[in-house]
Amino acid sequence: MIAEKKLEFFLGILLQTGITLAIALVLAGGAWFLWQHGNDPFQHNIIITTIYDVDIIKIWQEQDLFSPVKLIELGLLTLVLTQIARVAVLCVYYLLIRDSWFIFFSFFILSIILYSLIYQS
Amino acid sequence: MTILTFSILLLLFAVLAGFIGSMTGLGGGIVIIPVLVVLFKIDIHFAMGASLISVIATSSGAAAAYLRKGYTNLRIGLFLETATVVGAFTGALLVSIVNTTFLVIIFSAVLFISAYLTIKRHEEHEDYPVSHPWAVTLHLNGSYPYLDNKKSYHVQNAPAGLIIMGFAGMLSGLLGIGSGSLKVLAMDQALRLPYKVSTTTSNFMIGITAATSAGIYFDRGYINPVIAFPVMIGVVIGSFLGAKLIHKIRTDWLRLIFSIAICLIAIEMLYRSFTGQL
Repeated sequence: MIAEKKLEFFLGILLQTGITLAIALVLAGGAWFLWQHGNDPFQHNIIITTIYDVDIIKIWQEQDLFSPVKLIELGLLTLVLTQIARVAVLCVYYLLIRDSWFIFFSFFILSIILYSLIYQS
Repeated sequence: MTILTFSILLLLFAVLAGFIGSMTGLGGGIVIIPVLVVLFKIDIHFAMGASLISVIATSSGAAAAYLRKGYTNLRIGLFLETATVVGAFTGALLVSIVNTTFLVIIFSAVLFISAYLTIKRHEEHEDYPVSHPWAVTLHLNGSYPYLDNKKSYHVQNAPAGLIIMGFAGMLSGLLGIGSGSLKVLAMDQALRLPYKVSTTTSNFMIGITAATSAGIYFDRGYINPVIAFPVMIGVVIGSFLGAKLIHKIRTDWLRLIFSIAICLIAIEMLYRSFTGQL
């Protein structure tokens, strides 16, 4: 019971930290993007139809990592990674208390989320 | 219009959407998608992508606060999440296959249902002394803070809850929303949990569900950073303001007004879809 209380507290901190970091990255990237392109004419057909390939592996391999759009993408990925982190914490917790059903549930959920993140159509 | 003007307009409407979603319990996703599609003429797939990101951000912020208060039942959340993530993954895969008109029809149906659930009177359940066998095996039963004490509850109809959650997950993946209303409905009506436990546990689950779909949306290119960044920031600000003011403003009339507005928006989206404007 006490262990679960500590877990809840830790998960709360993890979520708060992850969301704060994600928002900071998105805000920084967004502000930088507007500073660079804010006065450009808004071309609806281009902005609305451009496909951005946000990929957790490719984002580190590209040359233009240090760009406003990439910073926003990093923030968006941080948001998703925070969710993965909290499921991973639950996996570790249930391993430690040896709750076999919840070890299965948490690892099952973790595997689905991870697969969706690396999924390529 | 410049990109700066577009982003500021998007931000302001997102703040409004987040505020309304938070005050009425409709959720940011349900409100922001029609705004992006109808007002800004953004393709529904990009609108859903931006909505999904906002849903993760706002629900996680709320979940962090609720975890500390002791209402969230982690075990129930994780148990139900097994079905929800499967549904979300499947729903997200279907997005690129499903016709836009069909998406709009499903989304409009969800709008109508959400509007009804928002104004429906909530009644607390009777206390159940006996649990479903799965709840006993998996230790799903719990207690929550009540007055100065703790009140116990017993979980009912666990399999039914799983099925509804799978469906909720599929809607979340298909439409880029949190499906919070449906999750609360499953926990409230099927599992017969106390309402506060249902809402907080649902909040805990939404972020994980949406993150599952986000992976597929990233791959398909539906999450446009230029659109997502003002929407995410705006909805977070709006939700935060809504949460601060919810106890100071009477929400009954607000819920009624926006439920009607949501129904009208649903009709507008259906009309535009059938006349080829979407």
